[in-house]
Amino acid sequence: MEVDLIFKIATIGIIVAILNQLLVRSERPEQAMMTTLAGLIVVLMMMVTEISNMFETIKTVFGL
Amino acid sequence: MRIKNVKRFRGLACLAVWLALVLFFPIGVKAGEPEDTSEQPLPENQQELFSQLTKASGADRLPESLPEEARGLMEEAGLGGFSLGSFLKSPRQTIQMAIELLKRQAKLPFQALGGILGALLLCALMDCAAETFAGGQLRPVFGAAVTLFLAASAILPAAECIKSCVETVEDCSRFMVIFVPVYASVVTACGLPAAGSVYHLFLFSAAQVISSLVSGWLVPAAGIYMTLNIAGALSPQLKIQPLLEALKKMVCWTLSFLLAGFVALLTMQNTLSSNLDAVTLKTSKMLVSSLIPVVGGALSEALSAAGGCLRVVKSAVGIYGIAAAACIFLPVFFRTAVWYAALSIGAAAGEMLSVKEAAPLLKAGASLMGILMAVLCLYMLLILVSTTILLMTGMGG
Amino acid sequence: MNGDIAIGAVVGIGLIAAMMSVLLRQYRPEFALLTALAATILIFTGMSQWLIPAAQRVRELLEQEPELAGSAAILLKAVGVCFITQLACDLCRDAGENAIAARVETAGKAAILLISLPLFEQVLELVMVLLR
Repeated sequence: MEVDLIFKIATIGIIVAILNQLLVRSERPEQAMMTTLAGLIVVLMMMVTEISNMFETIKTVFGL
Repeated sequence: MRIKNVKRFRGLACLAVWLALVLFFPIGVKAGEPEDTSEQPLPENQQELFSQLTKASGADRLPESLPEEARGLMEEAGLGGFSLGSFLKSPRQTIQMAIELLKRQAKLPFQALGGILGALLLCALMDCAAETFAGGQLRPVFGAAVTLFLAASAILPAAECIKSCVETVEDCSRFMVIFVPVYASVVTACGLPAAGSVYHLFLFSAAQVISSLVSGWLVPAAGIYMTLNIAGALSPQLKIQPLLEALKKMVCWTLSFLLAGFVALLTMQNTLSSNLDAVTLKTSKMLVSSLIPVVGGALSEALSAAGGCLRVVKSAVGIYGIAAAACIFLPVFFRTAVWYAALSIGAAAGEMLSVKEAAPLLKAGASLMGILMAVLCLYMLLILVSTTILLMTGMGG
Repeated sequence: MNGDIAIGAVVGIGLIAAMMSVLLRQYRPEFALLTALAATILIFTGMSQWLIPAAQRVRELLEQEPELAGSAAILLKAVGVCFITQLACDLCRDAGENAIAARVETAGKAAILLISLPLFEQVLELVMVLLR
């Protein structure tokens, strides 16, 4: 089981949060928003394969 | 003068004997050679006599009137033909045959039990998922799907068992139509005319009553019972349980009354007829021995000896009848019993896994099987008991 | 079966993901949701090692009655629908979207009913045979 995925997501989340705070404090709200969005997209792309795997498994196990 | 009187007296005596024979032995008795009779298998020339008597009473037509499955079973038990030696079978072989039959019938119900257990397991799994706060909404819907599956699993055997129960009762009635007159005539020829006619009347009316009961009343009631059960399982708000329990109690009470009534009737009539027959036998013996001066004693002995040979035929036909009835009923009885066991186990498993929709439905199926078994038992017992009583009477005298 | 080893890993993942999620919720709530989703996916993928043979056995059990073989597939499908609906519902509720969760749930119920329609028809047929 790839436990690293959770750590990766958590790390990205923490980084994004810190960057967000920094940028907001330095009065650049748009860039803060961009960072958040970028972080979200990166995480989603990491998880997409996993999600498709899961749906494949569900299809085989339950015959949907 | 004395000689003429003796001659006329002889003529009168012969007439009296002939009258006695006609009056008290309505079916012609082949009073052949007065041989020593015993209840053990007879040697060769008596085997021929046996087969002659069998043909005369029509007992050799009995095997053809059996249904297919019963005939196969009888042949396995070695009772296919109608000969003397075949009635000596060891009990162990019979029990082994019965166990084989049971195993054959048990295959399908336990497969179905596997299916039921699988569905219950799935339901229990979903129950675990329903522990969360939001899970309670999906569980009833899934429960409905599982109930449908269990309903299908429970109705299939119900429909099939009801059908085979009705078929068996009809087959047995057909067999009775041929067997009862044959046996009654053999019994009457053995010197028990009242018993024979009572047996004839009793079993015919019993077969009639049970046939009409089963086809006209039991089948629709069973169908309605199962359907209402399924409706109740699918929508618990209907609260149909009390109605169904009342229906079941009614059926059980009716069956018990029927059985009690038949037993009472049988006992009364057998007591009366056995007294009547004892009187008849003694009277005829006394008449024969006292009306015929010289050979009267020997003639009455010859008559009782001839009756002894007929008694062998009577035992053979009686045992054949009992064995045939058992062979007709046993397969269906075993099948219903195994379905009862399977459905009860399923209901118990449902309760253990706390799948609350499963238990009432499966229990209802099991009790329906129980009622079918009771009806089959009733019929089988009637035939067995009345035939056995006739087998036992007249063993002396 | 590695069931006993795997359950330890599952518990570990669950706890860690919960902690991360709580941590991130104060700063970036959307990441909390993603963490929870990731944890769910991972746990399920790990479980599928021993879920597939178990489902196979249950399917074999269900298909033993020869005439109801089609119904076994229906039941398993219903379980599957239940499962993923439950998943989505719980995640939505955790994110605070009760309305979305309720709609997903309703859709799941409708799907299960639709899937078990053939089963219902089969039972009706049998009842007709019984009542004739």
